[in-house]
Amino acid sequence: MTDPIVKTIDVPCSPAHAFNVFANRIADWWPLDGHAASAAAGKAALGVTVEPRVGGRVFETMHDGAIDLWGEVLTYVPGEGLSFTWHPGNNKAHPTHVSVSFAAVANGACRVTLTHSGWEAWADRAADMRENYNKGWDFVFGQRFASAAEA
Amino acid sequence: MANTLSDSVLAALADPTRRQVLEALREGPRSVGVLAERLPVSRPAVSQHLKVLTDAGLVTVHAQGTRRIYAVRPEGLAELRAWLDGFWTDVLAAFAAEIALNPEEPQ
Repeated sequence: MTDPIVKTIDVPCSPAHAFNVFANRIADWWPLDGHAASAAAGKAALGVTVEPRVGGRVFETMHDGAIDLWGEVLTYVPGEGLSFTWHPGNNKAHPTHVSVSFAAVANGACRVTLTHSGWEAWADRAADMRENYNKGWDFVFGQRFASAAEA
Repeated sequence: MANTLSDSVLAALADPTRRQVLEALREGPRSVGVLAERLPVSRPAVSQHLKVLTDAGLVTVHAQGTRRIYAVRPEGLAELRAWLDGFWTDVLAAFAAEIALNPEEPQ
């Protein structure tokens, strides 16, 4: 029931490049319109930043320029992997953990493995968002949960 | 579809006492009486919360002699898991699309 969520994807590049795009160019590709707190205002976020050091922040720059902290960097090894706590919505009492590793595989490709552990703490978010519908991530998840429930 | 989370699961988890009941059950199957001893709520209240949790599919019940024993139903949280799984699928797909659009420069 509480096993980590593990996702893998292979991309046609070196681990160094994949890591660089993932961590340093995250604002270029993160789905800013639906997977960020700014969706509460019906707007896309301006950016997502991973500060490149242990203890750095992972945060969203919201549509109005405000900062929404998503988590803190726990490990950061360029070309190999990074991990961070993950508590969008300020659920800091029960942070989940995300790690992303990059490894060379056959044919010059890189296998990216994303592991999200402790996610069951999000059961609390799922509940709270029903009463707290208009704030950032609560809205993002509320909207998606609600539309899924109606489907 | 994969990304569904039913209203009943959300409603069941919306109550902090019900979350306490569920947490207590995660330690192992329990009877209403044992749960009521451990939680700051009356036995009838525990019974009511267990009914909501059972209706939502988060908890199962079976008879053991004259007692009814409640236990966590692992599939109950599977919907939340499936939704989060879809969230990360979206994120990694967007990442892969970026790599495809902007290939690595030859060294």
